[in-house]
Amino acid sequence: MPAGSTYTPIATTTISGSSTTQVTFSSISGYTDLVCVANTAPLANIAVLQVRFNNDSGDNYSYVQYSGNGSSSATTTDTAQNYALASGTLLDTTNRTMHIMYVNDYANATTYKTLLTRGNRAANTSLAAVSESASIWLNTAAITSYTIRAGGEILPAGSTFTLYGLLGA
Amino acid sequence: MANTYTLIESKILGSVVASITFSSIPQTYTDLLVKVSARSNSGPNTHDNFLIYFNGTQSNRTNLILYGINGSVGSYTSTDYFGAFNAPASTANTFGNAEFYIPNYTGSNNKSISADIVSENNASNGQDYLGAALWSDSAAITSLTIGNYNASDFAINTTAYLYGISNS
Repeated sequence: MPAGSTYTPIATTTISGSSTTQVTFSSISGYTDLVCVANTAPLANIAVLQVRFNNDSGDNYSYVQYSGNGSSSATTTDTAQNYALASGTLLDTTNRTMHIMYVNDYANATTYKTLLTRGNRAANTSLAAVSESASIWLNTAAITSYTIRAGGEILPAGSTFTLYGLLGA
Repeated sequence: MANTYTLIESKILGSVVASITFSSIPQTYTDLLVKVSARSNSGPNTHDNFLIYFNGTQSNRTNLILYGINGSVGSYTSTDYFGAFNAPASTANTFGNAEFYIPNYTGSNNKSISADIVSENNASNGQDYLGAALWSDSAAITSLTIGNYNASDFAINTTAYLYGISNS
């Protein structure tokens, strides 16, 4: 997929200080698909990485996830949640994590939107883990804002979040 | 429009090789992405396994894999092999696909890889992998090597593309 110049950074946020609980990319327009790369530093507490669209905090999201930690694998599913799931198991207090999150055809106004997320916590201990999740936002509105949070926990300094726009043509 | 997803180098094999190396990687991007289409050239296996390492060293690596094989799901750790691709006993003309994403490759943190790997077979034993790898080294990544854990060569028409991704 030699995407060339169609893979464009919309915005990047690097966390500094100790009071940020969420990152929001707003006024999103002009692309076909969205890709967000989240690279998080260790948190103060174990947390769930979550995504909300258009600031919707209602119970309008459902998801399925499967994950592995080197010795076992598991799958979880939930409905009527107030967030799309980026990963339910990866954010911890000692390791960095990385997530790549995809939203295809985010601007259409006729279909529910899906979030496909690939997450990893690379570690040279038993804390290493990977996950993949698929979420659906039960709303047909075009996505104009994209919020990432850690379930209300402080996002640690040194974490970076970049939203890219992809053009289909 | 910013050109932020840039092909650094491509490798398209016209002859078999034991490994593929991207060297002198520019230090001007934020992240790296490698896309690989690979098949093994010899040996009795249906699947061989990738090795991926940086700056010519194979030490200090920890790989974790979540896999789906024949309808079963499991997970393992390894210090070397990292997901499977097609070998001679698999369906002819079929190549495994892999994508390796390496964030912040010039930084002083330990380096991680996020991997998605598939090795399909027109019979039983198709395989799918999600991988997380850690190279416990603070050095900036200046070269990247893709090898074959099973000591076979990569076949002709194997391809590997290295992209640089900038966040601004």
